[in-house]
Amino acid sequence: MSITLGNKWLMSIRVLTAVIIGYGLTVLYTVAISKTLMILGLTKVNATVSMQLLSFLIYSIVVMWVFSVASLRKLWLHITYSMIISLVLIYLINMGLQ
Amino acid sequence: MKDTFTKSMSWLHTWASLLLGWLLFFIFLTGTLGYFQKEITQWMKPELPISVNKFTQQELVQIAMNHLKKEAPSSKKWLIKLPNSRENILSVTWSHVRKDKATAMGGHGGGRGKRTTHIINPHTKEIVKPRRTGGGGLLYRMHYRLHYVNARTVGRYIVGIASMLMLIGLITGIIIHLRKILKDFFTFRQDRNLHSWLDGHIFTSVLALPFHLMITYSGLAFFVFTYMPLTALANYDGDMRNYIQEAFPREKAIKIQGIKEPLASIEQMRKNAEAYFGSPIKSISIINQGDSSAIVNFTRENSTLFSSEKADKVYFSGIDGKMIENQSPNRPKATRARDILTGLHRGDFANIYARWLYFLSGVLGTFMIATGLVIWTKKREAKQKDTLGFKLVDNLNMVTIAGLPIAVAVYFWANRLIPIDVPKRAMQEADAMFIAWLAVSVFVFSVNSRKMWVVLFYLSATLYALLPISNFFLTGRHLAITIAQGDWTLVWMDLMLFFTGLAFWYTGHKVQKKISS
Repeated sequence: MSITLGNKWLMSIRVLTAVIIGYGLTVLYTVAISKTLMILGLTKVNATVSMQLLSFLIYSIVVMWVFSVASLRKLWLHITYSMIISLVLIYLINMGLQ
Repeated sequence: MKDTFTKSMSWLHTWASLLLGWLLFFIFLTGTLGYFQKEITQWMKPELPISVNKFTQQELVQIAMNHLKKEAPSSKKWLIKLPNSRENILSVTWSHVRKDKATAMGGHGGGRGKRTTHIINPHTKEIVKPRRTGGGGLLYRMHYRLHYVNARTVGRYIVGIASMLMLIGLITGIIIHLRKILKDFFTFRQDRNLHSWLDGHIFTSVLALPFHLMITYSGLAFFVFTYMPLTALANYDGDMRNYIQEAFPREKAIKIQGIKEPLASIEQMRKNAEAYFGSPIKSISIINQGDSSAIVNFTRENSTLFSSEKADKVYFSGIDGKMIENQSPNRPKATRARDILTGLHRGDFANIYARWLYFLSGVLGTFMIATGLVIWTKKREAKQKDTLGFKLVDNLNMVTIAGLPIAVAVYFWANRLIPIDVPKRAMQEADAMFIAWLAVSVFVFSVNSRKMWVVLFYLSATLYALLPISNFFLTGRHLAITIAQGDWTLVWMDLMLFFTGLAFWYTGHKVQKKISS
């Protein structure tokens, strides 16, 4: 089983990761995707609002993913990767849009 | 791998759902009642005149206009609400607009002058003053902003967190049962163990699954701007106002010219509006009344799902009575998508059949949560029966599932029993509801026995079944009168209350047999 129910500390870390880091990830993803959509020709307001609307689905998926990855180390590694990728994407698009 | 995935999703399903399950039960129950909030309000105001619907719209508009001309000749903003299939009330509202502020076509803006509302009895043309009550609207509002807490700062966020957990609960639930969902749906094991509870849970979940998903997701969409402000802030460089202006463009304000001119014939406009809609009128608002810039705005009774769509409103120039183009700005497509989601959630467009379907789906959702909460205890009672956590969940289940209906019944009884003229009467009704709920909790936690299920269900049964009967003594709006007068809203309300009482009696009876066997 992927989750050791016995270890309360590991479980708490996972819950906090899902709730707080998961929310942060969701925001990063929505910003990155909405900026991508803007490049593809969607207006700023439409890109923003539609990604806000989709954010709840993204957040749910992120939370489920946090609970499904077996090792915490692997989980944190993935989180770091995807944060860096979204941030770089946002940065590049911002440069391009200016 | 697949197996461990299902297992971790199962874990998430259990605990995410349990955490705020009791709050979700409250949200679903009060929200479901909200689909009949206007009917409940009407029942809670027995002073309202009966059978207003025998008047034609022409007569009612005439009565309302005469009243406004007499009571508020100098007001710049008039609103007439006509009785409709759901509300048997003729009311007028006026407000005094601050001079420096102009009002938009739809009636928005204009500063918040003092508003006065009069309910008119068309038979006598006199003002009706029903008892002060929160009505069904109070129950409805509780489901998204709770009570006793600040709605904007606390209520909205707590409900948002609960909704997120609900969404996760739904998705993980689907994943767990994905492969066997159809098989499980048609399985009903009638034995008295965990399985029959599981079957009930799966049945109520699957039967209304599209509704559960829609209602949860669209509930989140209402406050998307509160829950996800960072996305907007990032894209708009921290300028929230600019974002709000783009996402929700405001109607342009219409300046008051200061030239007095009388209004053209409202009756002619009403006829044209009715012909335009092909359905009766719901409300009429007159903006810049008495001025040369006056505009009259009609809304239709049967609104479409796309409630902000222009098809639901029609405008006339108040001076020559000619139809004018709706100049309200188009909302961006994504905002419209949100409007459709929230429109689906509110169900304003629903006719009586669709409304019942909404109501029944809401009841199924409430049952889904209740059965889920019970399953948590059924799965653990063999091993953990004496642990503190188990007792807590078991008692909270009783307090919520069997206790909340009692609290709602007490709210209705308070509406009948609190004297008409006490100050803050509407608040006291709500207080009575929560005091009753608190009393049930104290009772359940001190008795600490499953027998309380039976006691509470029988108490509920008594409270609900006696409500229609109490009308014979307390309000005079009893079934004999309402049937004779053809006020079907009140007839249905009384019948439903009685039926609810019967249902609780049956449930109590069943549970009693189960516990004693």
